[in-house]
Amino acid sequence: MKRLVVSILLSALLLSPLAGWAANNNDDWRNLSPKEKDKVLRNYQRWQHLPPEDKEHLREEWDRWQRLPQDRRERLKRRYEERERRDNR
Amino acid sequence: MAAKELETMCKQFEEDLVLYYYGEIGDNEKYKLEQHLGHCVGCGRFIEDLHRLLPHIALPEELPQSFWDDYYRETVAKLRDQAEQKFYWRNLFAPMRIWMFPAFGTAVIAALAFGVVLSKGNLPSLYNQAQERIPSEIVTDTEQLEFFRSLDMLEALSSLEGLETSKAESHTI
Repeated sequence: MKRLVVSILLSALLLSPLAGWAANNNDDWRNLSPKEKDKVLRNYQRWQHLPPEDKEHLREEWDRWQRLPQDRRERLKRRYEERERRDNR
Repeated sequence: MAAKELETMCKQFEEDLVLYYYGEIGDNEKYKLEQHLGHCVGCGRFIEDLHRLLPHIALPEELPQSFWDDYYRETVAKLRDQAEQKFYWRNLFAPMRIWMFPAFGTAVIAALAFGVVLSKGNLPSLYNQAQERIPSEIVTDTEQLEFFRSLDMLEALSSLEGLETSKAESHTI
């Protein structure tokens, strides 16, 4: 019994990095470009320092965004991207 | 202590005197010894001393059964400890059965194969991920990921909608 427990622990020890590795991997994240990943990380760090009322507002905006019809979302997205491109010039 | 109390005897008769006491001496030697004892006071006292002391020395001590049981247990335990000390290195590998080596090898290979399948052959990107120290709450949750990806746009959502509405109005006018 003792040996069985030791064997299981050894196996768990051996496979634990892999389990963590597998758990931390996500197709969505992997499919992002380095620029997009950088954006996500930057936004996350910014989010952590936002005041609670701003966080609440952004959560509400997110819910509202998700409730918008698909075509309207795409239109707004396009407009935002145009504006971003214009601002970057 | 007993040696102190023994009378000194003639050295050449010492052995014969002891044998005489136990009745294990040959007839010739017995005769010679008895002749000697007739005139040697030291050897005579030595024989007396043997009669006085040896019965006490030889008297076996009666020990209880529990003593012998404990003695047996202790001896077995000591022998076991000795054997374990001699082969202590075996204990290091005691949990490792021989079948465990190929089993672990297979597990490692399976783990690697699993990892390669998961990464779809894009291992370097996985190493980079680890280096970036991505918060797991973002990576594992698709909605969270999308939320942080769209954060800039969400901040501008009201103004974008405002623009959209004003454009629509200008079109209708």
